[in-house]
Amino acid sequence: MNVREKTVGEIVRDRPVYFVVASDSVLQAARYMAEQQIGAVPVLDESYQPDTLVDQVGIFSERDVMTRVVARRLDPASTRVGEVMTRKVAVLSEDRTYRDALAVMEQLHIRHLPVLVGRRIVGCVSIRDLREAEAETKEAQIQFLDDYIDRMEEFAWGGAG
Amino acid sequence: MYVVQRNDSVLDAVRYMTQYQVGAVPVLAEGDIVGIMSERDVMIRVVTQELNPALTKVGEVMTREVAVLGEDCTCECALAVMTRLHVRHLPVVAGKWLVGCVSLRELREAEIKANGADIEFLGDWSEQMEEV
Repeated sequence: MNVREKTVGEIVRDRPVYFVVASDSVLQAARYMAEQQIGAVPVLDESYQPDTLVDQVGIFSERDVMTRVVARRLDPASTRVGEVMTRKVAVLSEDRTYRDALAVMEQLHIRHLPVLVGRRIVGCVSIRDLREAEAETKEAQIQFLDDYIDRMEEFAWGGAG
Repeated sequence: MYVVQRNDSVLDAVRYMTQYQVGAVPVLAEGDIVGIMSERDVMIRVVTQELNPALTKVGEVMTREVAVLGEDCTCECALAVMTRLHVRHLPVVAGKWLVGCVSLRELREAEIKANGADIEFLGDWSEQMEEV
């Protein structure tokens, strides 16, 4: 079947790169996620300055807000993201396909994967992005099959008398 | 089946959801389903608004308009509803009785089983940053 599968790099290509910094407060990060309508965000080292390449040090999600801050009665305004984020981050290189990403998410029970070019974060895919890519691919496959069947029928009819 | 009550504090509900590792939970009042509360509701309606979770009731921050599924709804139909509504949980009812709540993950797992696909663990995805 000649339908090329979208890569995660292509999915995030035309989007801004969302991130927070480890020294940001949970309150700031929660507001940022709410404004950008995202459920998780990569966290950069607190040495971050604009136009510098800084390492990702973690990832922080809305679930972490609930389970690690609210449930523990920590104050979001005075708790830093660096204290409550997940440090061990699964990431994917930009040339992997959406199917690779789905497999990783299912295996690890996560919904977001930062996308890297080398060590640089170029975006983050969510499970919704992958389902959309999957739906697009299925539609393209159906279209491909329809076209193929049409061509076969033409050939069959054209060959007769 | 996990549920909370409308008059529970957000703090109690969050601790319950954390303990049972659920991302959303139907809300009952006098036995009837009156809403649903998700981790996103907690982040957006409590945390960003700087409300005190111990003093805020679930009923004040839950989503009141709840989409529900009939128990004989297919997994495919359920997935379509979740995609359309941008939700990851849907309460399941039999008549007017709440019988449970299904999550996107459960539907996804059922879908995979139905397709007989083995999800192979990809050895060459990379893990970055060791646990400190």
